[in-house]
This record gives sequence, structure tokens and C-alpha cells, in this order.
Amino acid sequence: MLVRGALRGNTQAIEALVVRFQSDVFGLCVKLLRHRQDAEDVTQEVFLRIFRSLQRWDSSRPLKPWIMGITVNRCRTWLAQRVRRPELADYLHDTAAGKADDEPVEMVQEIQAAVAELRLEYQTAFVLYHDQGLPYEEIAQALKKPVGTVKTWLHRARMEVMARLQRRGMVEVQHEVP
Amino acid sequence: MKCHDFQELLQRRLDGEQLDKDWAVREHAAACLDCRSLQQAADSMLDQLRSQSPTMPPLDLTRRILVRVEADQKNRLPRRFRAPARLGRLGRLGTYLALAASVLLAVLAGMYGLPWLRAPAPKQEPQQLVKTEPPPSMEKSVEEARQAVASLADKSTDQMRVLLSVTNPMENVGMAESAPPLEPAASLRQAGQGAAEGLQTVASSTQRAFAYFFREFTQADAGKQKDSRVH
Repeated sequence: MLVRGALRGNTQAIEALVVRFQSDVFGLCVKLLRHRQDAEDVTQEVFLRIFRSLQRWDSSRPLKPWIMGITVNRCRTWLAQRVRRPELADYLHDTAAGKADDEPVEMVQEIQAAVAELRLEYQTAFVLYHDQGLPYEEIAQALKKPVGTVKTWLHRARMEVMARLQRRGMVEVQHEVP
Repeated sequence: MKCHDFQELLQRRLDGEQLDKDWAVREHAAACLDCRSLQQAADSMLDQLRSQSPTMPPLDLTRRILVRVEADQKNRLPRRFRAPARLGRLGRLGTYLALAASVLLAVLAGMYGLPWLRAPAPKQEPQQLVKTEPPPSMEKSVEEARQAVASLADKSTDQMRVLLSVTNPMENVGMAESAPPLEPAASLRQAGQGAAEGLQTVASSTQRAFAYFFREFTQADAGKQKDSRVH
């Protein structure tokens, strides 16, 4: 209904779509770009793309993977164009503001740093699964890849993150009690 | 259970599956230090990811997005000028019908021609039935006659040359090269003289040709008679 209204140019439907998906789009942009200002710019571009090509969306499929696919593509393009800068501190500062006081900040930083070191495909699969909550099938739709490929990417991403946590001494190995 | 199997089960647990072989996982983790460490890392990561609060966008982001979307839609072509991305069944049918009608119209126009497609016929000038030419003058008639006789003489001279070269080529070798170019006759008398000379040459050539023929004929006839006598 919202999509039909947006296609007819209904401003209320357009606004409802923006409100419905802007948190997901912005969150994914922040995780992949690791820069809040860039994430805001890319989020606006993503919604321009969405409304330009909304008529090409296959209504038999869920909308969110389609939107996430556009977001990933825009982030990739942005990353390719952007001169790399040390953005991690900015991102961690932003994300730490939303945490509870008793959360281990150091562990959060390590996980985010580990994710930031991953290949972009692994990062994307990791964020879409653990942060956006998309199932394998929808990630595969968003990335236009087979489900098996997505599973492989996600498993490797997890193993690399966990290996970093082990290397950095973030895991206390409990010795077996005889 | 091997470490590889343990890692597979660990991934399934991270996917949210409830494992039937949980006891086997615990048993392997108790025996293998690396896998136990990996399991604790997985648990810490999962707890952290679950407790993570979503990243909230800035409050004015919605307004900024809507302003840009509205400006973008105004800059784009109106909907009626854009090709429809998806035509319904009726839309497709209408498109096919319009296409078929245009093809049919083009074929009919090619076969029969449409009145507005025909090229305008050229305007015909009314024929003049009576030609109003001025009456020929005497001087012009004499001049035309002179030119006709001169051209006849030229033609007969050329024919004579050809004939001579055929009848007696050895005698006329170099004639064409040595003969001066003929000039057109200047008057009726000169034209007549030229014609007479040409005819005289033709007559003499004919006479020689007949003499040659009769000589050869008589020699051949005498030879035949001599042969018949011998036999």
C-alpha cells in the first residue's frame, strides 16, 4: 500500500516509507562506512535511488532486502570514492552513546574493530545478519548471491572476529575443572 | 567429535539453532582447550551483539531526505512523458494493437497509395498544333544543300579508302598516313569535283578487281582442262 501510494506521488506514503526504513538504512551505512556524516549523506542518496527505481521492485518479494541491497551498493560506491581516513573513533563514539552504562565498552570496540578489518563482503553479511536481523535468504536477495555463498561469508566473518577476540585476550578461557 | 565438527555446530548455534548434540559439544569443549576458547569467544560476541542498541539517525534526517526526494521528483520528467515501467495486460494489448495498426496502414499505403501521399502530377503544357516558323530563305537553303553535298563527298571518300584497303591492301599501304586530311568543300563546284574524283577512284578500283577476278578464273579453268586431258 505504501509503495503504491509512493508510486502515485502521495507525499504521506513517501514519508511513511522513509520513516519506516531510515533507521535500517542509516544503521547499515554507519556500520559499513564508519562515519556518521558520510552515513547521513549516503542515506539520503539511498532514498533518492529507492524512489527513482521503486517501480522496478518486484512486489512478490519482501521490500527490506531490496532496500538493503541498494544501501550496500551505495556504500560500496562511496567507499570506493572516499579517501580513506581514520573513521573508527567517530563511529565508536556514536555507537557507544546508545549503550547501557554497564556494557563492556572495550569488548564493543574490539568487536567493531574486528568487523572493520573484514573484507567488505564478510562485513556486509555479518552486519546484515547480526545487526539488521536479515535471514540468509534475504541477505542473498540483497547481495544477489547464492545462499551458500552468504553462509560461507558469514561463517568466515564470525571466525575472524572470534579469532581477534582470542588474540586480543578478550576471552577468559576457563580451565577445565578436574 | 573432531574440532571441525565442533566449529560447524558452533556456527549453527550462532545461527540460533537449538542443538540436539549439545552434550557432545560440551564434552568436546571440556577436552579441547582451543575449542573451549572459541566457544567462549562466540558466547561473548553473541551476547554483545544481542545487547547492542540500534544506531539512531539524527532527528532531522527524515525532513532532509523528503526535501531531496521532492526536489528530485520535480526535476525529473512528468509521469506522462516517461515510458511506463510496467504495463498491465490492457496496456500491453493496446501497445500491440497500435503497432499492428501502424504496420497495416503502412502496407496499405504502399499497395494502393493514399491520396495525400501521392506525388503531384507534373503540369502538361498545351501542345502547339501549328508551328510558327519563319519561311526558309534562299540563302539558307543553298547553304544547307552545299553542306549536304560536302558531307556526302567525305563519306564516299572514306568508303572508298576502306574498299581499296580490302581489295588490294599491298597497293594502298601507307595511303591513310600519306593522304592529306580532306577539307570540307567551299562551294558547290568544288563539292561536285570531289564527288567525281571519288567516284572515278571507285570505278577504277572496281575495274581492277574484275580484271583480277577474271584472270584468276581463266587460269583455274585452264588448269582443270589440262588435268582432264591427262586423266
